[in-house]
Amino acid sequence: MAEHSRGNRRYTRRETLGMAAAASIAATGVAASTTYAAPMLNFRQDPVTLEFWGGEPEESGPGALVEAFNESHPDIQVTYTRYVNDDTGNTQLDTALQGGTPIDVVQMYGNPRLAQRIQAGAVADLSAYIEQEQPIADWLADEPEAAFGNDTGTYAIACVREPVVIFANQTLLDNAGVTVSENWTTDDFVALSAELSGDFAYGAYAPPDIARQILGSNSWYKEGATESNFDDPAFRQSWETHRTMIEEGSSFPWTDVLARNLRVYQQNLYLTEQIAFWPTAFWVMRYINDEEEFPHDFITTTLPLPVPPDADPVYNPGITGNWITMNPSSEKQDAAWEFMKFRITDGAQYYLAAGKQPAFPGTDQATVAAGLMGENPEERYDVEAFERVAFDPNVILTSDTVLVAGAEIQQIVQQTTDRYLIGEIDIDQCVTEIKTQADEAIAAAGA
Amino acid sequence: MADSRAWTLARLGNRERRRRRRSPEPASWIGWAFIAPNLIGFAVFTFFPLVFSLAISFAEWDVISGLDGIRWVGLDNFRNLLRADDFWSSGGRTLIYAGASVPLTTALGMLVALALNGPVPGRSLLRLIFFIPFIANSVAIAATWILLYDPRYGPINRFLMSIGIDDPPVWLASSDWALTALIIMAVWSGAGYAAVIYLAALQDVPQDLHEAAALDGAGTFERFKVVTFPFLTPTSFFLLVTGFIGASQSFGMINLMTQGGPGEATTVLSYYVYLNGFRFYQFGYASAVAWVMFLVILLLTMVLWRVQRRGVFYG
Repeated sequence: MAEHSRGNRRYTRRETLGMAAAASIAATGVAASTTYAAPMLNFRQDPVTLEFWGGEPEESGPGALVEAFNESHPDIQVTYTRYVNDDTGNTQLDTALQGGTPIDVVQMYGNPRLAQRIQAGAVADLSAYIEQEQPIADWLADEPEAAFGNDTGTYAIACVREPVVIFANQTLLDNAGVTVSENWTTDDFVALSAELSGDFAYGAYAPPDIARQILGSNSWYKEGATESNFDDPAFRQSWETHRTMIEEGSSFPWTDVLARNLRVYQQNLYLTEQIAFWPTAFWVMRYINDEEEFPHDFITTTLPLPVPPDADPVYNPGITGNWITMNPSSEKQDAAWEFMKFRITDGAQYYLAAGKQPAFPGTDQATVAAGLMGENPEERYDVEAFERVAFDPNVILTSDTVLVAGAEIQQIVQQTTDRYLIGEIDIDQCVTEIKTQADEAIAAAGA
Repeated sequence: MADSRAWTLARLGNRERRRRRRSPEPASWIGWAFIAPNLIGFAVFTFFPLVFSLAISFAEWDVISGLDGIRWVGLDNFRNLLRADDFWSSGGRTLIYAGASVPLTTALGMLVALALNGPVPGRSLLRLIFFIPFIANSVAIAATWILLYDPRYGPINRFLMSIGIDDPPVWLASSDWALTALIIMAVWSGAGYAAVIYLAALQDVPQDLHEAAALDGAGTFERFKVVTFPFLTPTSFFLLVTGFIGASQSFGMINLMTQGGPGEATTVLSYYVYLNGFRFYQFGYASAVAWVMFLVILLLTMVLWRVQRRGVFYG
């Protein structure tokens, strides 16, 4: 009889064949109901591995989120990959999705691109999963702006709520003897900004987006989205208010914003006390909290947005966003949904330090406030004012669902208002150019 | 004797044929193997994208829809771009930008090279200093020039105000000045490279011709005109052609400093391609613009090539 040596023991051919069969069963993961080998083997199924792509640096939330999830779900292990949320980064993501890169879950930003991806079939319909998850289903029924979809289904769920508030330098307010009522109007904002302006400081970076406060979601389009809405007086009012404030010296000069590329570095102005009022969202709190990079010794108070005259209802230009989505090509959709649920609910707290307020109402208010304001908040914030304004239940957030030629219109509005705000064109030219070009873009998009 | 020689040659020939049969020439496949990595890289990263971009210039495509989403539209993209005001205005700005920055860079490079070709103290250090902008990180360059151009606190405007110009330009924040500001920056960053190339060329100018011209009474400028300059024309031609091709494709600094603005003041063709492709997701249209841009650059290069036959002196 042929014998095969293994270690010190010698096995017969039958024994060897038996072990090979058992090994192959174990390797393929087939449940063992076979006779001889199975009871001897210790089956252990490999965990499901998921690829999660998002725009935040790993240290700004995703790292801790993934670590916590992996620890609590040993059967599912997630790996995070960051893509930069800019034009080229988004193209990289789209190329990866279309090229078959094994991505299971993606966090997306900006409604126009999300809508394009849904239309192209690059995002999975989550309706069936949502129906089975009562807390999430109930929440989305109460707050429909936290879901993104169309007639065919719900494709994305918001992870973050980003209302716009006014952060204000309390020291500058106190020095100027200015008291702000929380029921203030746009006119009050303009007047107080003028009062706060001095030789080296301006009352405000800019006024809030008055047009959006008045018109709410989809403010760029008329009903039916075959024409733009920029002839609405609210836009003229919004841009004129800003230009008037610049001319009066109460809003930061737009020439400086363009010349110093400050649109994306507004925190530098606020934290070096060059502006008193800063209309912005909570994500900037990561800079206010970073005392090493931005040392400052003033207290930040939080104010609600001033109300434009005759606006009823008053919308908040802030949004719900940071959309969590599933790749329809994922072969592990159940596991992906498990992770998505965690990201939306318990996992949202890991993004607090990055200034991301959870959209899902499950995280308690004290945890959210503490997470957003960081350690020793009283050294930097008027804590009570922040909690009062940040969790105001009456705020109506917006979410655009009509997005025809959205990227083109965004470019047109920015280019043209820039020229108006630096005084190169007047308001009539500004409104006419934006309206004409936006209508052309909508027509070119085939609407 | 002759027979024996013929026999010997025939034997040698047979032996050679047998040797070749036994060990085939290694040249063909080994050669291909050596260049394969580069060839594959070229095919994958250059040739295929080129062919693909040419193909989608006849289509509408948004990347997100994948290859199934390609919709062939024939010459529509080319017709549309010829009708688009933005295309023509961007093309005009490209010509202004390249047409101004390249000759100025070349001229400044030549002046620097002439200055540094003589016995100047610290010559090597000065050469290095002039060359640094060419190799410096573009983000650092952009950040530095944003500071220099600052309308209120920048040293350029401080200087202009100190000499009595009360209302100096706001540079990057002005539609009238932003392109000029970028041209000045391009000249500054490219002049060092041109100077290094010119310095090399200056070593080939025959000294005996200079001496002969000096003996004939030619002054410094006259000697430059009749001796040095003709010998530098091939270098000038090279710098003008490569500089023009490079300047026509300028993108990085514009993206970092002005993002095509204010308004469209610095939207040159390369940025226009970027906007349409990467921001508006109209990759077909963007490819069509890129190919038209390529044809225009090719045409202008051919014109320059034809012109140089009359003006360039090859010794």
